[in-house]
Amino acid sequence: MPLPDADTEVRASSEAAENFVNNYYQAINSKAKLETFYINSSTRYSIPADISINGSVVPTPAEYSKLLESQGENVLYEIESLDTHIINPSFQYGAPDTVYESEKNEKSGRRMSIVVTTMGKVRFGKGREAPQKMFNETFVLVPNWDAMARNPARGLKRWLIMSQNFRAL
Amino acid sequence: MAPRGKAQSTREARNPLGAKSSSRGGIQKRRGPTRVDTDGDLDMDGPSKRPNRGPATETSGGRGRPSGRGGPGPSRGAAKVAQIVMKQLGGGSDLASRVSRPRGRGGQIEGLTWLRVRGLKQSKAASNSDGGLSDLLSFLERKASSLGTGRKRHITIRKSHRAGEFVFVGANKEDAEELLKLNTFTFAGVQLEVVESNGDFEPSSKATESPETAELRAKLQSILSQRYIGENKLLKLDALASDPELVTLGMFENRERALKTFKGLMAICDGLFKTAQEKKDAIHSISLANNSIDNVIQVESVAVSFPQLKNLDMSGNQVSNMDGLQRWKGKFKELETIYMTGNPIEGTDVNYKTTLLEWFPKLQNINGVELRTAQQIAEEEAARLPKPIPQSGPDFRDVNGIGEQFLLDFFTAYDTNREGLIARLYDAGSQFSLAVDAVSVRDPNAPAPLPWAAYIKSSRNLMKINSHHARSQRLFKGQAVIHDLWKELPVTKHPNMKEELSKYIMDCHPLPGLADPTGQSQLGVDGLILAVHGEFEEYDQKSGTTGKRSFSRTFVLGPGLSGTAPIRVVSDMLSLRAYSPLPNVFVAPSPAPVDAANQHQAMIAELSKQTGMVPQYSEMCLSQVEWDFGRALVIFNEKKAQLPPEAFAPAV
Repeated sequence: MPLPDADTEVRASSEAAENFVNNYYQAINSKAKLETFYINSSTRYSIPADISINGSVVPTPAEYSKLLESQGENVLYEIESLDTHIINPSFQYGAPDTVYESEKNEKSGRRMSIVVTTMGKVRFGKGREAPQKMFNETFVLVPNWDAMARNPARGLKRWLIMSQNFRAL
Repeated sequence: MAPRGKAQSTREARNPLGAKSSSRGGIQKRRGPTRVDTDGDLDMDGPSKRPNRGPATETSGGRGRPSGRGGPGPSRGAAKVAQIVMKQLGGGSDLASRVSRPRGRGGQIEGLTWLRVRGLKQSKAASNSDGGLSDLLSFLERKASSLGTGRKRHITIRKSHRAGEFVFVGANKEDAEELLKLNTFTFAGVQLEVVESNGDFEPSSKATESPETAELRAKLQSILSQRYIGENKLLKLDALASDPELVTLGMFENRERALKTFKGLMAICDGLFKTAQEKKDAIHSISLANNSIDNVIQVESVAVSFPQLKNLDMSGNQVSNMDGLQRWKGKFKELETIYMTGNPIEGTDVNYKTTLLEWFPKLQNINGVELRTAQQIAEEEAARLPKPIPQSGPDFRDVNGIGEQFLLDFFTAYDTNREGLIARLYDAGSQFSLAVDAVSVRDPNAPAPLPWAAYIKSSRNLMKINSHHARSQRLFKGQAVIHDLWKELPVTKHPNMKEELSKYIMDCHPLPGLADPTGQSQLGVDGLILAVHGEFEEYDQKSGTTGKRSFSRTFVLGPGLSGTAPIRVVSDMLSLRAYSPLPNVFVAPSPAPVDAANQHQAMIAELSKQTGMVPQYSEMCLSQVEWDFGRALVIFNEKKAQLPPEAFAPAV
């Protein structure tokens, strides 16, 4: 098994984490659909993502969108801190029998699972006086096997959320 | 006003009729009889046609100088003076634009460079009908335009005004630079001084107003003061057209004059107060009753001058629909009471009260009837504010108590024996990193946050640390490397989790797909992911500082190699921020929102209380308006007279 070397691990995990949080929080702030960020959107994963928001399990990404919407207008998430570790450099869960260019993908760090932590602020309302709260959020991202194909459908995310834990602090 | 101009507040004596023309000086053009307004500008427009006049302050508009065309002769007594005064007071200008700027900078255009020119008064041109101003301006433009070498550019003076012995001219920056070169040029026998104005000139109308203007201003002020009832903080501007003094002054001769008079009165009001707060404190209520107003455009400036007005009496006017009030929509954000009785709208628009409640967010009382309370308004506003997602207690889906045992052990061990902790739970593949958020929200009353020096050099906050090298260096992998870091980090003391549980928030969920350290399971093994939030006390042995920090820490735990520990730390990520107490998620969550049925009962009770109706009638009334409390009150007040006696609870 050609595992990624240490340099590749750092590079690939950082890039995955940065791309993910940029897109994910932008989607939250613009109230875009969240489905495609989760393993729920891929048939390769037989389990739904484990979404835990402020201590309550949220069954689906759509339910989480509803919860976000219920906060009202002009709620803004801003990230101030980000870090990531690799959990498993050769993630197998849900993988098809033959992964496209398996060795190359593994070597380049595309078959990892990673844990991503963010910390930042939620702003409730516009303007300087608007109340704001800190939050901390943890994601486990896993490969989107559908994107690891010869001709993947356009717009597929490379990484999907398998586990999510949000807490307002 | 120019620095020295202020001292010279008395105006140079000039013939108010301005008809005398000089026979000397070749530069003067032949003119018909002209009038001079109070600052010496030619006033060319007759009273009936002045649409092109700019803001009627000291500054003349447009190109900044009169173009010689005779006006219709000398002043016509009091009414004429009054008109000039109104113009001076802002009556002919857009009051809104005046008010929105600091006083006294009335005509200033953004981006103009102002120059101060001295010499006109001493020049031969001073005896011209306009005091020589137009000649001076064309002289400056002509000379400046011909200065440049090569291609000639036309220099334009955009604005000008006189103040005492100075003339201030405004031009764009490039033109002003050319104009400055005219310093020491000779104009009509006098050497001019052209210097850059230091910008604090104030074309104050007061400093240069004529005795007539001052007198009228005083009269209007006196009328205003008679109409101000100090103890009620009420300004009574009702029935203005029948005020004998205003009639005598000719201020309400015709509709146009009346409108200008009104704007002038508002401008004087504005001038009486140094600050908006002073104005707000002095005037809570204004009556505009019985002024034949059919559209508030006619008195729109009230909303500009008194944006925080609380009570407004519009009764006895001619407003017949909401269009007539349109210009005030979104204004008067503090208005609590309005009277509209005696307006045709009462008969033509049955919903006008509901619309008023929508337009004026703080409006409680219409025509003396309270339609909603301040508390109801506050509740409605609160309902519109964004609300955070509610907090619940720990989402702790543990497996065999492993997560709980780990947490109870971890923080004590981290505080007292980091080396032992690493030996027990970390191995060659374990990773640790920390990330500092130095800009977190914190309690403003808490002591100043601890410095970050002890952590910042190992912070792996990827938002800040962008170089690949630093990202690699700050990821600590393996027992030895992690221990090397931990022994350098400040000594900590975490609260005892059993005794002070509410200082923590912790969630724990199972996580599949971890690497199997034995290499046996291809699909990976199951583990746990834990997120813990809390605080610790810190002692930095290097700097000797103590204090509190807040932290979040995420652990990924997997099964250990058999024969060693039962579990291992795959990943340990510490996030640090300034101290700020956590919400206590262990208390019972706030009661669930009142369900609709309960809410309806509460509204019925409240309506009965406010109206004296029996509950059945309150319920009928509310259900008719889809449980909109404000509208229910409106309907009640409209139909009150038609209700049968049994609708009301018997008086006790």
